[in-house]
Amino acid sequence: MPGTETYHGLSQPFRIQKRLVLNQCFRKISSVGFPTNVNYVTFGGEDLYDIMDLLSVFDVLKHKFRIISYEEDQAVAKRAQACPVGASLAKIPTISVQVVPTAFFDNAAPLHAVRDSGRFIYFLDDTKTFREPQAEVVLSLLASGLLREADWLLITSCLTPRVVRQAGFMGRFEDTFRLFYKKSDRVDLEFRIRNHVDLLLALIFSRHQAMETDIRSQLRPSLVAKYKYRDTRSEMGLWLFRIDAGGPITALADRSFERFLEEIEQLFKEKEAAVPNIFD
Amino acid sequence: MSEKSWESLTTEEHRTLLGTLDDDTLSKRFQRSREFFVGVRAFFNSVPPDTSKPKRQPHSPPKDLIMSARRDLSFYEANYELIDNSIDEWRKRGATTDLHVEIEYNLEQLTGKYTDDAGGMDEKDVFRVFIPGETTNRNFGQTVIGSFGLGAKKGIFRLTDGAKVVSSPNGESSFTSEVPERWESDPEWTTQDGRAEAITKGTTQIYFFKLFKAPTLAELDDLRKRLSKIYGPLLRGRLGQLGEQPTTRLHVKVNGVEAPSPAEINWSSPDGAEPRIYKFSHVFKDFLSTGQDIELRFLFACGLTRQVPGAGDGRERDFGIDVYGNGRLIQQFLKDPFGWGTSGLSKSDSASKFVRGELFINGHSFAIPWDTHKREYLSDHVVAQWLREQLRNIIKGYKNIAGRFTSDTELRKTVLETTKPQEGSNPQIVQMPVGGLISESLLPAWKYKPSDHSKTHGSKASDTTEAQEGGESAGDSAGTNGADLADTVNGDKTLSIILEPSEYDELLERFAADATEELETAIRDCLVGGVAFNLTAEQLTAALKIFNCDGDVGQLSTIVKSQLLKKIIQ
Repeated sequence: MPGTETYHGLSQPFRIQKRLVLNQCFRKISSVGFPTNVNYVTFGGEDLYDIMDLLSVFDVLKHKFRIISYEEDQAVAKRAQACPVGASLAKIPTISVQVVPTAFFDNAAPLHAVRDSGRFIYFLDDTKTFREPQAEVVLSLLASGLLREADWLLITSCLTPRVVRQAGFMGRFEDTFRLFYKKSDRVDLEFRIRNHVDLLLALIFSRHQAMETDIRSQLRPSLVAKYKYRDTRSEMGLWLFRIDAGGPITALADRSFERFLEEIEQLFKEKEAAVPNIFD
Repeated sequence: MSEKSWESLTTEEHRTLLGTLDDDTLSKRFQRSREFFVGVRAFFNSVPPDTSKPKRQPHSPPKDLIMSARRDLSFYEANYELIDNSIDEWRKRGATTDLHVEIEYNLEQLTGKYTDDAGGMDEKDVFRVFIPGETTNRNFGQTVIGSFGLGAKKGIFRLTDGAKVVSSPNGESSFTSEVPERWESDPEWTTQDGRAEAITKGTTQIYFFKLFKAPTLAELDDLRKRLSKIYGPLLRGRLGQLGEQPTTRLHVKVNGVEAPSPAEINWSSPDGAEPRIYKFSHVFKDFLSTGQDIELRFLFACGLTRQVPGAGDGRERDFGIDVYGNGRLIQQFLKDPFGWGTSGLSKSDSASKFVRGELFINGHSFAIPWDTHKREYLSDHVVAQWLREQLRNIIKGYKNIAGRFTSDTELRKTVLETTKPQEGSNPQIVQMPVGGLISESLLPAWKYKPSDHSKTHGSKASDTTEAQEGGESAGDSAGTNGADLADTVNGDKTLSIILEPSEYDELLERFAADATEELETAIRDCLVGGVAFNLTAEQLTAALKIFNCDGDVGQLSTIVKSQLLKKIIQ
């Protein structure tokens, strides 16, 4: 909500954990051999900082980058185009940066314009908990042919206890979890938290598969990794998927978050200031 | 022959009589005018005469049915047809124990298996699963969903190319019938019938060898949810609770996950207008000129809901009547077929939005007003028209009571919104006479004194609404009005707020709401019954910093609330 960003005390460069998990994700993407053209779609905000995360992993001399950042706040979008990242990168002939001043998918024309030129990496960096409305956006990408085989999808989901520790969080999907994960017993809250993005995304792809009569053309998201990071008060989750083709989703596997940031998270917790008690 | 009426004779007998007797004789014999027989004779004479003697010619019906099944039925409907078949078998055997149906689809192998424990089939009946028109449901005294011997066949051929049925009524051996792949292109209707090793007594298994198109996991998830709606009364044993058969329950699993038993209607239970079950039956003589008298038994649950329809938890999605045939849903939220849109039952009247009902029609499928696919309640069907006349006054009675509540906000909030039937109790069952005016004592009654702030009855808004749909007599319009609930007529004030999408999402999360209606309720509760105050931007920034909330206003709210609760508990 407007104002929330105003009160954040930590700017993007100092969100160290986020930088580290993005580094891991981009390394995994680049390690499989990405073609020359890299189409990167992000919600880069004012700083476009995650573009630097991308460029620090990919070889800028070997790839051409078309970067499209969606920002619905017109003023922020204007500042983003002129920010150090945007302004400097614009001078490099192999890199183009376009800031689209609309909500994601309100204007899909820039995506269609470059769709056929190469693979896409979508970084859906939403600050909210990933729920059905966010998943619907992915369905729109699929339905319009903007998400294809060999593309990559990075999805963030806010893991604030205020939302995910509610007893009913994803509760109405209890039986759907059991069906997709082939579980005969009940799924607990921890299971629902760590797998909520996986399930909602699988449901969306599965719905899309129903429209595709040729089984070999059916797309499915393959989970490559999922991380947690916590630079601000709210813990965030980051899911990395590769889009594959060739068959229906038949079952999902319960996977935990990667553990490599445990030590850093512990340091962060130690630094966390105590909350004063206003009633004492 | 003389004691029979002309209509009761066959065409062959008509032709014989016309060929042997003159019009005057026929007129005297059958008590019809001479002109009638002149007309009948002219009609038959207009048919061109045969030039060669007709011969009996056997025919094999083409297998177009198999192809058409794939077009006519959805994946979901194909599964319903198989379940309908199981339910019919279960009922025919008395439904003494719960029925268990298990549906398994292997999405990679493109195979599937359907299993029920409805009782199993006799050896002579197993092949009937594949042959159109072969049915064991010809007895019109039976309570069955299927009637034409088509449903299960279409279901199987919609799903798979090649199938095998294995059934064991006794548990000693199994009887089988199989059709191969591409059976549709073989002009013969031959099945491969045999015996196999015993499977569990009373069970039937149908193997799908090659699914035409595997369902997706999302479709299987949808199937499970849809089954809950379609077979709701059987899944929760509703008919048995109301004194109808079966007293046992249906259970269905899709790939190992059970279809849930659906929630009850969100009934209110004001004094005098508690939800009631009206029980009645009727024999439809010579139904559709079949010469058969078919008895149908009816249970009509009617009452008021606590809230107007909406998307939030605990609300009905819409108002109106749900109709079930032998416990299987035909259509939900029906209005016009039960008299809405006619005098005194305006669909736009806010009172109507509180009226809900469930009509259970039980008896032979042939007389139930549904199409062969059971997708539609046929409102122009003779049974549907008869029902409309039986039930309209009951619905109108409840609607009039709702009208009294909608014109008295205090009573609506303190009575209609708060009362509910005792948990686990069944509504009062009323034996209803048929064919005449329903007694006042059987209709809902108004038992409350108006609150001090109630509206004046017969408002202009009411007159306007009724005038739009044909008007209503003064006598039965008492308490109805066309005003919306969220209006200013009774001192209620409506506040509107405009939220940006991100603000809306944030509030949905903060109040753990799934829909706008839930958020509206939460915000109202927060403003009226909660602790809410405003901070300046500077104060808010300071508070967020002190409480280490990093810009998360919702987190600040949670911290303050938790500290306050701790203090209260101390």
